[in-house]
Amino acid sequence: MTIKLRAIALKRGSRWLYEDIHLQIKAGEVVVLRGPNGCGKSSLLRAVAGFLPLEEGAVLLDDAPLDLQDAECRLQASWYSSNDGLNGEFTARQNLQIMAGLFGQSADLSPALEKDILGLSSFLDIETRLLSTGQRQRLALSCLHFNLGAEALWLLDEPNSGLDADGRAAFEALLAAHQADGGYVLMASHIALSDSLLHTTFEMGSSDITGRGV
Amino acid sequence: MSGFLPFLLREYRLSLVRLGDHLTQAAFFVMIATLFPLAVGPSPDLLTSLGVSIIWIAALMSALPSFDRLFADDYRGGWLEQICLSPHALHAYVLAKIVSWYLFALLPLLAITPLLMLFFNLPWMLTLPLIASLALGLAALMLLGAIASALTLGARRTAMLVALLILPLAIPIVVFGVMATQSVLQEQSPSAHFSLLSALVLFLLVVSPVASVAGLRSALEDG
Repeated sequence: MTIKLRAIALKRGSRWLYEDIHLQIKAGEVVVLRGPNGCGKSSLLRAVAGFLPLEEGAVLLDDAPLDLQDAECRLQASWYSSNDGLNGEFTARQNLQIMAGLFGQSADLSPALEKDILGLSSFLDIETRLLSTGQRQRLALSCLHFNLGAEALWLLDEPNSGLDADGRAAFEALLAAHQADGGYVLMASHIALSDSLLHTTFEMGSSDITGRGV
Repeated sequence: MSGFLPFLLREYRLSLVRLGDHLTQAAFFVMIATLFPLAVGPSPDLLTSLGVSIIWIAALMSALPSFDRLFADDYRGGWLEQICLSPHALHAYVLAKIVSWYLFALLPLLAITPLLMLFFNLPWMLTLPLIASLALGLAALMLLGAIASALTLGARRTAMLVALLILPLAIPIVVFGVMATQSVLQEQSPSAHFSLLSALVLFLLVVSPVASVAGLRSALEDG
């Protein structure tokens, strides 16, 4: 299956961000959006997820409209942004349990923690608000796996900005595993992925912003 | 409704963490009600005739300021995005939020009410009607508060805005609530007022989750 973004036009308030974005994500493909701040990378991700209404154009899955918020949707999606949905008052473990429950997984985390690619075990019982930026990011990224539709679409907004070198390597291992499962990844990031991970880069320049009537 | 129980469990854990906030609200309720006898003077007849109304207003005033926080943390923290993409519905989340907020923030107010009745020299036979009418009234207020809280997400200084939105709509709740209790004091049947109050709660129970979900969705567009 292929996810297609066809002729997407987006507005923030009265400002046009762009009016003709075409993009394809095939199964097992990682697409990285790149571009200057304010060019609309996050907005595009929000539009694909269905939070931001499209002005024009469509998001398609094999030529049928794709509504990721529909519970009956054929494709499942996981979302990561710096507002990560974790609650600072809970311990890391409690947050994992809550996220697992949200996506219908059992609260028993031992299978999920067995591999522990992101190295959570050292801070599982610490309150989430006391974690460092990088630790919190690792915690939130590990929740991506709770959406067990193996070929889920991952929408990631700056997922690796706070990670150290080990963390980035672990994150790429996570992406590679998802790729091997035939999943889809659309991410916005300023930090280049290493060449060992197969990925496509989509440049969103300021040239896309047109002076269309306000 | 799919997801209601997991959401309720999360809200329950969250309420335990924030128990302090909710108890502060109950303390505020006692403070407001305590100020009135001091300001009005120690005449027992005057206090008895004003008591029901004062307890009602105090409950309203202490419940209102907290409503703007109802969805705000989950909105800023990105929890709403996760729900939207999960198999569960925002409706279930909104209902779980309302139920747990009612149990943890508003039921303590009801528990303290018998104590406040002492301050105003209210007869004991009023305990049941007063608590019953407050329970219904606060439920209606809670449902209104959810709508106002969802609609004002993303706006600045929402506490006053939420109070301003709710207060005019709360007038019928106060009128029927106070009248239900007063009619017992005057040895009349309170059933008409209780029926109207219950009808209000049922109506809002249908409308409020739908309207709140619409508010949350529109806030997500700005997220």
